[in-house]
Amino acid sequence: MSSVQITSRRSSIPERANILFFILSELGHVVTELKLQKLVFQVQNIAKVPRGYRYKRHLYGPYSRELNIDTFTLAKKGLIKREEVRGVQYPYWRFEITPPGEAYFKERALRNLTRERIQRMRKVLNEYKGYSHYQLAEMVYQQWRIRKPEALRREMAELAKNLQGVTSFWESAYFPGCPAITYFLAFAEYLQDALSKALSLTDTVVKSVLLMASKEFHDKLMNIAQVCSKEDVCPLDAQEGLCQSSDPSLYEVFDFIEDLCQRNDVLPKLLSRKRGELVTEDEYVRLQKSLKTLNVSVSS
Amino acid sequence: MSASSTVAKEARTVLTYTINERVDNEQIRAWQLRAQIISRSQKRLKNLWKRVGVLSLQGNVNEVKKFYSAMLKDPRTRAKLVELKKRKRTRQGLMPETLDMIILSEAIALGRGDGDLQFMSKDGDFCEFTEEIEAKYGLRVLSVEDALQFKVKLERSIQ
Repeated sequence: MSSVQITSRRSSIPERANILFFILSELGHVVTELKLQKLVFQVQNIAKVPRGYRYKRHLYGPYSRELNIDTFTLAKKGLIKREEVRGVQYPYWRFEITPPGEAYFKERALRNLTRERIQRMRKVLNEYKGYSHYQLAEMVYQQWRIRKPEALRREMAELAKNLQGVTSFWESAYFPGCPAITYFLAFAEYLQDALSKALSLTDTVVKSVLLMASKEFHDKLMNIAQVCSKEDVCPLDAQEGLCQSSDPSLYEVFDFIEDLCQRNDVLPKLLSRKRGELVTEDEYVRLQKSLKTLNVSVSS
Repeated sequence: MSASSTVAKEARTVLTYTINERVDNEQIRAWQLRAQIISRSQKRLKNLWKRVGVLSLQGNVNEVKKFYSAMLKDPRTRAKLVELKKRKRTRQGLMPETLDMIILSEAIALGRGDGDLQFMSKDGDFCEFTEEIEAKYGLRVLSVEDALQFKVKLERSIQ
């Protein structure tokens, strides 16, 4: 097999595998697939890493088939080692990064991760790496309320109401020249639509991740609103002032939410939504006329 | 042809303002649609900027402030500034907006290195004072309307 072929094969490694490489690079190895699945889930969803793995509810909580496939594929490419070990009662998998995998991670994958994101991922990983696979599985169940669909539904409805409250603030602070407030309101409107659609989902894992990310988004929007209500300051400056060193910004949280919604068929990304979902036909016709003189098109 | 980064920034702000104003006038909320229109327009504007050079320039805005303050003292030029204030609804006092004065200061700074520079605008704060600006700074102000008429004449003469 030529080196050219190997290079072209390696370039087909999906971006989501960065999370897997990161964890194995930091820990050296992970024992049991259950622990690996849950660690990736925690790092991805608490550190808000977009374009990650799709998780659905399975026997032991959140499970990603994509992650399972990636461990197989990357082991075939020699970038990780996937070894079946005979346990006392059952066999289990042991995952380890190989030297070529480490080199690939440092040369290619790390370039796509910002310093702040790596800090966040490391913080989450350090918090959960010490637990056994069963402890971690149970913790994930509890933390994300995966067994409690009714509680999730109630919280989603509550959040939708709270979002309405913070939206009212930003509507009162709105003025036409401010792109930040326009985007804040657009994001909030998108989130309302996403929460409404997600209520009909059966999978509690997707619902829970969306709920938690939406709560974080709401809290950030509230924090910026609090600063702006007391001081005459640009909302972008307020956000930068509030954003601690590695803390995800409002835009990063929204990016994560959009990506989650798109990958789980909740909603397309904001800029890809069809106009029919956003305005009535009459509104569209009026806007077309009004913006025509600017040579600006309303439709995508 | 060049523009300054201040001009590029102002263009982005004005674009957002104009789109929002038009949507507000139709009494439509549709924040996501606004975000879509603004985003697409900004992208198009960015591509258009690639056809000209966008320069980071450093001008002396205090010098320009003194220039307009002096014009406030002359009754003829003061009258023009009063008229401009009436036309520009958002203007607070008689002086031009700070951003406009920064843009002029950048053009002056650029013009000092180049004897043959023309400053194109349709802003009354510049176009109403072409003689004064040229006399003080040697910078020729060309209104957009004049430039368009010149273009039409040129095209006709070529045909």
